[in-house]
Amino acid sequence: MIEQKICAWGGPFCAVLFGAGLLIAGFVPPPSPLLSAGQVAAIYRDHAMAIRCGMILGMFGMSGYAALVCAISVQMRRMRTSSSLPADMQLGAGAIGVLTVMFPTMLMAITAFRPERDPALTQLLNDTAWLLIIPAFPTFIAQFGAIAIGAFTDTAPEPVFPRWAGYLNLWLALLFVPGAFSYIFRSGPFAWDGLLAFWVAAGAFFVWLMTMTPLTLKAIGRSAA
Amino acid sequence: MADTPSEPHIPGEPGLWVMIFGDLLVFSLFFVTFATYRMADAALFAQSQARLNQASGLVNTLLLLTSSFAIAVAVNRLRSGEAVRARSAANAGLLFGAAFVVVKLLEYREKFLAGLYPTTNDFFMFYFAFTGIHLLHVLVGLAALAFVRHACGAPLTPGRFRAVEACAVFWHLVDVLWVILFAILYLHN
Repeated sequence: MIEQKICAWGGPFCAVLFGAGLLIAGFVPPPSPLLSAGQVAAIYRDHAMAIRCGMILGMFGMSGYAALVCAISVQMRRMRTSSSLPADMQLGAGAIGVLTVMFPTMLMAITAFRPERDPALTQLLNDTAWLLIIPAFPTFIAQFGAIAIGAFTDTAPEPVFPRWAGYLNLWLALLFVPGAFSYIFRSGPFAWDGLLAFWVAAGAFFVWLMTMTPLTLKAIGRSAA
Repeated sequence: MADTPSEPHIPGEPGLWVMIFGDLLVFSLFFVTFATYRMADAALFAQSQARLNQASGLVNTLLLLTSSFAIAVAVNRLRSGEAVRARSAANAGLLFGAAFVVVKLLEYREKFLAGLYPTTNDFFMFYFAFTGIHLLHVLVGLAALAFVRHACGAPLTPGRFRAVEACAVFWHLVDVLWVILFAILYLHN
């Protein structure tokens, strides 16, 4: 039981470390997509060490996310559903979601590793990193959607998750979708540093971490009783 | 299932409204963002708005309103046990909803052919992004309507009826959001 509880606390662990990592790197909000290659290169040159350290922290935070995802699925296996599909889909999609956040985090650290390179290359790496992380909504739709399916179809007398949690997950999944438009726009609310693509989606990610942890802890508590 | 006046009835279930109000909140944020950008360049927005096809916007409004009405009828008939007649109303709801998608895609095609893209200017950025996100809602809603239609043919348990109501409420939300989008994108001046 205690090991499940530790894993569930991975949510706040991830929120704190990933948030701190972004803040330390100076990526809240991210550098604008409108910046020239020279300006982007200057950011990575002037803040090289802060970006490297921030990304190490952020990466560390993702281990908490992976742990929370697993704790959720362990609890979801107790759901009385017609198959284990909700638990399996949550685990599978959540695991891939770890990659879509971790890989761009690594790329940002790599970009800061040798900032004296040709500015055009630094800009390419920076573009790649942000356009990997911001539009990466599909796994979150599948993962949050799986939690919703589970919450809606669980026929146990004492359900693992309350039904409102299913609706909350559907809503939060929707908030990741505007990020997809960051492939198209370099400025405005849908750019990778914009109100809807960055602030709302990042906010949704943190809200998800901070609500799924207590919900999972409660479910663990009930399973022990 | 029958409601007596003394017990208040929340359509669908209380948790559903987390998502409904959440969605309304997000769209309110969309509209405030739109209004802010519009104030910064009112001339550009007015001139771009004139290039929208008001007729197809109006047709789509009527399609969604009719579809919403059909689904309300279907839920009512289902509640009073008329499964066969409920199914024909659900079919009508699905048909009008699908027609909305066709009209929307034709409208996008018309814009692309006229050389108007999401990157053309800020107005068309909002136009394509907001109507695109709304279209996603319509597709999810059509899946919900397909469930309603399916429920008309199966034995109706209280849990299933609650799910049918939830689907109908979501479809009405999709309708309301479109009416607001139509007003601010196509008409407001």
